[in-house]
Amino acid sequence: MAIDELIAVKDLRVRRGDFELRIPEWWVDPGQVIGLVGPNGAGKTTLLETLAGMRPATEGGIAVLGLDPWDRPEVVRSQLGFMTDDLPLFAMKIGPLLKMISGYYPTWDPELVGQLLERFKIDPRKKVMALSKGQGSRLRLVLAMAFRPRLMILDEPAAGLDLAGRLSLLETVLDVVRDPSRAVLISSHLLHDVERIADRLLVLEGGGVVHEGPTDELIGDERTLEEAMVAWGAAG
Amino acid sequence: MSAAQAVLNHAWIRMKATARTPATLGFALFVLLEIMQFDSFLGEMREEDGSWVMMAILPLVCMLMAVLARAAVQGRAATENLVHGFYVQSCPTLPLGPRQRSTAEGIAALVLIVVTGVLAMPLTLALGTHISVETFWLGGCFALPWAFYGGYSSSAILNQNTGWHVLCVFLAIFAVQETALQLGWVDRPALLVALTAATATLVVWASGIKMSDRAGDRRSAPPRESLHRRARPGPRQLERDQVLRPLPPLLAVAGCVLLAEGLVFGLFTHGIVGSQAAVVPQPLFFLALAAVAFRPYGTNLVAVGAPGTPLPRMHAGIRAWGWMPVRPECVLRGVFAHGLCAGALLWALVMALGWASSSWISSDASFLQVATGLAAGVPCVAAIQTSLALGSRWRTLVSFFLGMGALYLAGYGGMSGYEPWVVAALVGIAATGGGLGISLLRRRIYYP
Repeated sequence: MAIDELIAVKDLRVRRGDFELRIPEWWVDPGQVIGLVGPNGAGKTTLLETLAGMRPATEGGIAVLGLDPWDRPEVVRSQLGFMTDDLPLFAMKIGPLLKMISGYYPTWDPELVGQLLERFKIDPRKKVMALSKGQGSRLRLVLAMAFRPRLMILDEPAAGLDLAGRLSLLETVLDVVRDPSRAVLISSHLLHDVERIADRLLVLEGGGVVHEGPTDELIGDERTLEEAMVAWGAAG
Repeated sequence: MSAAQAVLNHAWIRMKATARTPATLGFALFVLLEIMQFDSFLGEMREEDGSWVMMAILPLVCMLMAVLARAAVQGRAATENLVHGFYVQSCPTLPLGPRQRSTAEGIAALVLIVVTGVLAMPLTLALGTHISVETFWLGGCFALPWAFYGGYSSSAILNQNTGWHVLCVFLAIFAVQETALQLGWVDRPALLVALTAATATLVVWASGIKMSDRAGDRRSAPPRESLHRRARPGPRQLERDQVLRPLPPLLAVAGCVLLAEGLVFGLFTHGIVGSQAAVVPQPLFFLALAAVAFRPYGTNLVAVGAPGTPLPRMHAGIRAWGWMPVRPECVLRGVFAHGLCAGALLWALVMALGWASSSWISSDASFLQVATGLAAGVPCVAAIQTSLALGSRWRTLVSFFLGMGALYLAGYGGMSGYEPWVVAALVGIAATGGGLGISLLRRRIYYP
């Protein structure tokens, strides 16, 4: 493992009721988009929440930006953008919400926020509760990107997004990794999108790692990610 | 099926569903306590010309009964998120118009209130409490519009931009009932019945009004610089927000209370209004202050989420902070501290009003004594807030009932004197409520 890894995992075990996630070894280098795929219940969300310091590892070592996210969540999350499609938001107007949250991130970029609001067609006068599901996902994306985090973790970011929203999302993710010091970890059931943007894949099934490696090498030239998932028995 | 049959059918379905929910038991318990407490107020204060106390308490109690009845009738889905429950039309595909539906749900809530009251009567009589027909008569009349208000707020064609109409109807009912009390109409049964029926009918009628929400789109876009503020490291910003963000609304509401009470007192000292007027603004401002008090960090504690997704669960409060650069334990400690301070502020306000009323308006000190006992409820307010933020259902319920117990015992102690067992019970409630909240602060938080 290199010293500048954004994520480093060694012999990780995370228990959640009867379910156990097991990852022997895995790391994420800067400048990459990592696709996290697998059927429902494979452990994708458990892994992402563990990386974000929202649940502890039962065994093994985990380092995000060089720190244990469970022990130092306030430091890790100041450089980690986390977005899920069911992340609760404070019930207020979007403008005041942005203003409130901006106070927690010294790296908050107002210019970028303006561009993202425009790109995702979000009106800051609206109330959060008045947004549709797709608009809510777009707002969560803005919040996850607004402070230019070194690592972005996106859990089903395209859920509820229309075609234009999905294209904007993919474009934005690619924009992020143009900066070689940053990386994006994206979990999605929209395999076509993942295949288009991911440099590497981590394929989970039943809490274990089925495959890990560069996307092109894993899938090959002859098939799509969807076909590969079926062939690996990780289609659910 | 005719319209009347549809209404009765829906009311019957709602009543059957309500009878099967545990919330009904909690509601029955609450009504039982309130009837006993309220009746002692009526019996003793009226004899001593203390009808001003009744003015403050009667509408609040009736309104609370009806809101609770509505919550019980409403079912689980709509009460998961209080704000959703107040302005989003639940189950819009029901084969009923909004007016029919609010009528039906109002009938169901009213039946629940009446049945609970009647079932409570033998027990209150067995306990030797003085239950008068007047209690049920006045309480029933005042509860009627509130019962229909519950149906109205869940069935009216509202949305997030027009939800304030619900507040307007709320204030209108409150104003009508306060006016009726002020003008002494409660002693004229025919007038009271007519007023009650007219108010309830207007509430049902209002539920069918279609409202425009275009006003929200006409506002100009906020300047870009207003979308961010000076940033600090997460823990430091959290500490600042804990103190500074709740302050402006708290001070504004508290200032309004003082201003309004000062104005009324000035009018009273100049003989323009009677002593009863002194308490008129109190319940409304008290409600507003209580609403502000439940906003730690200036954010909404319970109603957090976004539409289009399933209604957020109770733990949404702490989870909304989960991705931010702060420790959830620090957030929760802040919520507890805010609960304690806000509870203490509310209590101080009640004490000030009690002291003012016993010093200047009436020679009766019972209100001040009641207010003193309410101090036991302060830790319970903190425990309710902390449990709500964390999403612990049973802790929220236990701390709520502890708070209600403090309210009841303070009422009993204020009227009948603080016997040793009452004092012991109040201390026990305060200790349990505080302990319940503190127990949540002593461990790491796992996100649900």
